[in-house]
Amino acid sequence: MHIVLDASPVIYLAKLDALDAIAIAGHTAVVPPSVDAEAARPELAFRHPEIAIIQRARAAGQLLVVEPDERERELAVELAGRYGGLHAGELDVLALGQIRGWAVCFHERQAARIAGALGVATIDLVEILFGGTPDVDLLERRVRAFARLTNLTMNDLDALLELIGERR
Amino acid sequence: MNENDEDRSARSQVTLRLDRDLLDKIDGLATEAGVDRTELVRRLLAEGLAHRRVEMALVDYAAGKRSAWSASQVAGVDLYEMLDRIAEAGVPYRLDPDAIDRLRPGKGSPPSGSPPKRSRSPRTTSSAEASIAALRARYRPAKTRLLFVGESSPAGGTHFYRADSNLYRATREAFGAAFSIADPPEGDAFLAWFQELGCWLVDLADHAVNRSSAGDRVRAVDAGTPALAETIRLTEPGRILVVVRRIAPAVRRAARVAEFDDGAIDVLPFPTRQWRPVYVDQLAGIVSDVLGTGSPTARSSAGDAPSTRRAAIAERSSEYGSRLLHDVIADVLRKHGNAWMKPGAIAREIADGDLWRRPSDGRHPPPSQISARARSRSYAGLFQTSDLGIRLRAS
Repeated sequence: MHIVLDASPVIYLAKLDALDAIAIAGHTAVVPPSVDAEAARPELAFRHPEIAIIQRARAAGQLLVVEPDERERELAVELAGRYGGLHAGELDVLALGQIRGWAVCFHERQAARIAGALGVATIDLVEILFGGTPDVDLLERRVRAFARLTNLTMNDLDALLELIGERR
Repeated sequence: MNENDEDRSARSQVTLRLDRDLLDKIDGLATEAGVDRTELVRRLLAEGLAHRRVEMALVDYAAGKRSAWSASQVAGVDLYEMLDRIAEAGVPYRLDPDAIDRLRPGKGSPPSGSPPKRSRSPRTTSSAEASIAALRARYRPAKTRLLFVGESSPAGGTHFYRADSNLYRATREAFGAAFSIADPPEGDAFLAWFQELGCWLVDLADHAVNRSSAGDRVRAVDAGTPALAETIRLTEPGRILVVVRRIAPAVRRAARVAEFDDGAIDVLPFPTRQWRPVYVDQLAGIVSDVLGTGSPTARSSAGDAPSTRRAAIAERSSEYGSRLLHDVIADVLRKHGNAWMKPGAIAREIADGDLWRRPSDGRHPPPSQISARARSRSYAGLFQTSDLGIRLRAS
């Protein structure tokens, strides 16, 4: 299954060194050029070493950059008028997902809800981590690191650790 | 077009009335920076504006009005920096409950636009709390001299016994200060040292409550009181340190049940923001006092019997010049039978009786100075402080 990723999930997966989890989970990772431009900005690479990881993943074919076609670009413009608070790149993600029937992955729940309202399938970053990290210890480390990076609530971390515990 | 012309066309002139004080400070900074006043104001405005834009973007993000990426655009920063700022600001991140539901065994992980709602059963003890309980058990000292009591594990996964919380960092700093160690051990090594010294931290609530409603928090803390009473009874600590002021009444209730002397309970402010140095200084004093680190603190009594001191105050009400503030505070407390007194009441008593004036400006000490003196590391052996106020430590 193809998954169109927003920039934040790409950055978090890179920070966790878990971009490979997408392919291991059996998905094909896709990003529009706007997401690629933001997540892999060469001028920021010195400050954010994870950019090198993203560039490497792209070079290895783990991250496909897909240009929206005319119809998708028009839809993105239309969506911009309907849904405020999203970046143009996120609208590209939604448009690709809706027209091509691909699932989308956002970091914010609001964006995921908009996708749901449009009938676009969504997948959460933690689902990618769980699906693409067979080593339970590594999974726990990744989940804990993700929790620290994002200030994940204790209740949600508990729920995830419970699920990891069930896998042991 | 010369440089000056270009400058004029790119910039507009603004007239601004500023307080003399502020202007003096700006001039001082400009001199230090080696630029003129106009250039400095230009830079300050640019920095202030950038800061304000980030703040506004953070507010919008936290309110769910913007995505992080959209917020970064408003803030004028890249997404990486915005994500860092969001994390630093402590904006909590909540998962979509549907995503957690899809991860449950048997549910598979088919992404869906309208998946079934997750049903959450009430939790008892989760695995995260179980792992903290295991760490707490691992670092339990054979003999507890100082029992630290916290409210709960913080939401977000950090904890003192994971060596990654604010409480851990401030406590490590305080122990370093108490033992005059510039770089105290870190991580597991610090926790092992903490254990060896007879120090142990327990929490009242059995789950994270720092992001719960006030009512839920009170209920969770109350529910933990019997267990704390049992812990106090079993460990018989030399001193109890409450590290969150709002739980002090619950800790005292537990101490009463355990028949523990409430004169050996100290209440410290939680070490966050401006309270961190207060916590560090006060804890360093208590650690020195209880564990004897070689940095003696002032002791109660100061030589004179209370009655003699009371008489001395009455007779020498204006002879404050040669006396020290902590002696005067101690005398006021003795005069009131060493009942708990709020700093404001002590300050009023000192002012009304003209018992002491500050050498620096000849004024009576404000409540904040009374509070700071009582919490000071140097007087940990003399004063006991809590949410109830200040009193003399039983000698």
